[in-house]
Amino acid sequence: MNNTEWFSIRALTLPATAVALLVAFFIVWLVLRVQFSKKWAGVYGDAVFTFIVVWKFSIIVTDFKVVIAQPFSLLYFNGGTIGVLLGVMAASLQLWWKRQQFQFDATGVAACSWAIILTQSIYQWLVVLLNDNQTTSEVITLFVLSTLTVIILWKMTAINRALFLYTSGFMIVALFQPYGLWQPAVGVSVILLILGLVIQRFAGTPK
Amino acid sequence: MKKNIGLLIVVLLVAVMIGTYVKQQIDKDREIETTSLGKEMDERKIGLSNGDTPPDFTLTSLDGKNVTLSELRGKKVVLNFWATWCPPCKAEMPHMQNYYEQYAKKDNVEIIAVNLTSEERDVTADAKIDSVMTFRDSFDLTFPILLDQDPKNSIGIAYQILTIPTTYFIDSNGYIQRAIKGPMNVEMLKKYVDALD
Repeated sequence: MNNTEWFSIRALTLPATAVALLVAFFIVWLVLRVQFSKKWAGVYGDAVFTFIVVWKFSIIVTDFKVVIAQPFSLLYFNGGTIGVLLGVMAASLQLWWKRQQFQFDATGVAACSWAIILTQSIYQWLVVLLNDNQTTSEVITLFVLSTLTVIILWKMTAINRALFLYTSGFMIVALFQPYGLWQPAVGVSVILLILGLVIQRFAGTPK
Repeated sequence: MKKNIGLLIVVLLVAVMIGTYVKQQIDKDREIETTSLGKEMDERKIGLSNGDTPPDFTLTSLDGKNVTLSELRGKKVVLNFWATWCPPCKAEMPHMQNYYEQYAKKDNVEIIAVNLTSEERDVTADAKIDSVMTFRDSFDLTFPILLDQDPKNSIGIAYQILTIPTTYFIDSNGYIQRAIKGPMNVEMLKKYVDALD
């Protein structure tokens, strides 16, 4: 989706996509808290925190020269698209490293599946609502992702099948969006799919 | 029972999203109807909101050329306000220059960087211009830098510049499409310009 709106808060201008992501994080945290337990909402919160920190500071990797020449850049800029992907990877790795500590049981795996699917869906819905894009791509995004999300969360318990279905559904939706398959959201969806599969694998094995 | 609460919230969310979207579309349709009736076709006003014509000005650039904003119609314009002592402006300038080199021609964009010269912190007018020149040379800037030397800072006031950098994005028809406060990098600049008509 093209970002066409920006929000100004005092001296800071945020694109609508960033606002959508922050709101999505909060709603998903709330849903996890109600649906599962404090523990899994907390795990989600940690992952979100890692994502934001890595995304923000990844400019050190993506634009090393600028940061050395202008250390102020750290304050003002972020890692952009590559930063988003690095952030998701870092958050995923963190969950994997801490898998012993978290002890993913059946509830944990379900919470993980909910978190992965809902964060993406709510983000996409909000991006559609906050921006002004082509009507076909907007309607397809809203309709397909809503149907997929509700059916998966309602009926499917196997996380691997749920996430496979979701990510492939999302790829079809992405084909109708302005940037097609070649957009960060698809990359993120694939990384999260892998994360889900890995977590499911480890959930079964005794520690 | 517990399973249903979360799902209920999700279903509610979906309902709210779709409701909001349908309402947005209906409102948009109405807007198109009224404009096609000619009710909102009157001349666009001069102002700083989105869709307005920005206040026009003619300023002298560091190279001594006169630049008039309204004469740039037909090109997209990135109108940036800055000063040499402002850290975020410093952080932003190399990105502006990179963007200018990589995309300005391709995207039919002109970058106009208005230096708030009267706000520079040197004592004499010449010293102020000197520091702007030193700044330009140290960053190898090639886009036009205009000097707002009016001691009353009239252009800064006309554009309501309270924080710098502030950047206005003006489409090729000469209408303001967006005002951004705070520094931008190449990726952001590209996105904002791509959103212009």
